[in-house]
Amino acid sequence: MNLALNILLWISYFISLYFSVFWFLVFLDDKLDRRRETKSRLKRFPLVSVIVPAYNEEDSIQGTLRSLINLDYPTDKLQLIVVNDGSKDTTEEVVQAFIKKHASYDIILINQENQGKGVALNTGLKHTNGEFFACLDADSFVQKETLKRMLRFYEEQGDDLVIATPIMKVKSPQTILQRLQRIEYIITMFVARLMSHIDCLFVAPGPFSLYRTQVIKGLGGFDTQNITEDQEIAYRVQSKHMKIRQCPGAYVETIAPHNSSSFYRQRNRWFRGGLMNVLKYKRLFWNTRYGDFGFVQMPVNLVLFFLAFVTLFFFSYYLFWPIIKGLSDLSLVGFDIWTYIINFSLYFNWLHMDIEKLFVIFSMFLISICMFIIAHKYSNEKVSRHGLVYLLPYFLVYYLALSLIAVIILVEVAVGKKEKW
Amino acid sequence: MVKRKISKEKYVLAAVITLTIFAFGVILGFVLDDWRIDSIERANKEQEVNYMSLQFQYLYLSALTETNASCLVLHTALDDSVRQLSRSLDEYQAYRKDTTINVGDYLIIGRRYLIDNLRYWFLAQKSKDKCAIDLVNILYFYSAKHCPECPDQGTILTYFKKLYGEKVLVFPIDVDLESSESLITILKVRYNITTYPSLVVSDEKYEGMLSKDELGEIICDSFIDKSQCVP
Repeated sequence: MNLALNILLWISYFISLYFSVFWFLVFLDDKLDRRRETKSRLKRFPLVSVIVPAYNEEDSIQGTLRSLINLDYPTDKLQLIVVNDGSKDTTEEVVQAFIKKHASYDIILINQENQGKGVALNTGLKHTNGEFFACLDADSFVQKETLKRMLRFYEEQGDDLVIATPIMKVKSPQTILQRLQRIEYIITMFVARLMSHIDCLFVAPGPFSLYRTQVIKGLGGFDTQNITEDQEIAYRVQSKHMKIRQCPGAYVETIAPHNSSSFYRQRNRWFRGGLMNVLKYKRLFWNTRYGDFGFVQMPVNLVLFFLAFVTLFFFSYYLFWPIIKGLSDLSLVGFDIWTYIINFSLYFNWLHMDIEKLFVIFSMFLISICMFIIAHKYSNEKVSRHGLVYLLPYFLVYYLALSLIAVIILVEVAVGKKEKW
Repeated sequence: MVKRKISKEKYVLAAVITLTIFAFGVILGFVLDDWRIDSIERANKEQEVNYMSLQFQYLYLSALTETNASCLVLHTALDDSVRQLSRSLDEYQAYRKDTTINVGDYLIIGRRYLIDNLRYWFLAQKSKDKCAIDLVNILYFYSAKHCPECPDQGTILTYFKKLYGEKVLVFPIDVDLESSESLITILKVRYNITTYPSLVVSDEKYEGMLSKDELGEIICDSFIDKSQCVP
């Protein structure tokens, strides 16, 4: 490998190891909120509105609404607003039937032409009467105690808190892809806890983030032009020096994409939206007025694309280059494979290993494993719940797939290809 | 309003820990490089003893007796030694490519390998005549710096080594060492080598890249017993 490639590899190792160590140090911080959940005893019960934007959700919306009416919260303090964003299926009929069946609840159905999630959320926001409001995607399900825990968290944090974010989990993973996403969510939510500790959260997840209504209305609601409006609102809140924190124990389950095409679509939207938001708020870059958020989180959100590119490049280099070289060598000898097969001898010498690089990779792997175990603990999940068999593809293949998607997005953005959502 | 702050201590500590881990890696690299040199030097010593043994076998055959059985032993021992030398030469080349340290040590070791190869080649030539062993000795002049075709020629030579086993012996000469090893100049003048790759098969020079078919034909022609030739 030539010098330039070696330098590129060492830079990416350094960045990866540095941030692994950095997040580990944040975890070791004495002041980190290590509670698995907040107390659910509230001093007062404010009116809370929940906006459910729905587009072709006939299969799951009933379950979503049921999880909302099952919340451990006074019925008269809960307002549910379903915004049917021009669904082509029977979502409208399903919701109407649900409203009829649960007449004692304050449930509103608003039908509009399909205009996207951002517009649907703003439509719901206009009808919101609550002091707080939450959004809940129609493919997500909130746990009974979650709302009370979040409101209690607001009481603890005081008036500064503008958004409380939940801890997302994958609901009943069935496919291999869903099981891999389950692991990813657990780790991501733990890292989000660490980010929250140093005020670096840059996303208010669609499933049941709880907002202070007047503040969000004052900010102009959600950005309707943004494909990841849940990220954009978090960036906007951060840019106004408002507080956004993750609430311990506020669990929300969501249905993760079950096949590769829906997974690709989702990640394409996330990565593309992520890139757009980083560029939109580029003035925060290394801006010390924004503390850790400007100094580290903003650059990290961009560096991730660089790491994805490097990961993919070197994977291809190590996998495809020997294959190309092997085929080229075979072509020189007229593809006489048999001579090589009968003369094959297995020879291993550990002195041939690239110990320097392996040592750094091993250090990163060790920190990742520690974080992985701790993340499970914080999510009240067992590492072996779905078998340890998924760990290997998770560490070896899953991030590679994500890197591939990230690089595709970079290329698409570079050539000016528009998104279709 | 969020009270913003920059976690300076954490950034500095993370940098210190990261650099420490990297430093450990680099130290491991130094240690490993020393182990590699030790390992090559051990192999060198073994080659030295092998060579002495072969040389003595040859002298024994020349001075006292000359039987087919003794010649066969000499040939097998020579083949084993050359193969061992070839493998440790490959290791040496891989280590030399990886290292950024101990460059001077690697240069000296490289010269030793070169001399070892030439000694074996010389012995193989003499043994071939003495014992009438039907083997093909190939002297291979290559350059890692100035010869883009040399890796391909190396691949084809390796293929024939595998195909013919002990009947074909290849002795690689790294001409990049010429400035520090005058023996290379002597051989280049002797065979009038001007470009790379160049092969000397049975005292005949072939300049430029030889394809599998071309080299196969040359090797076949060099066998006394043509039935040994693999079509």
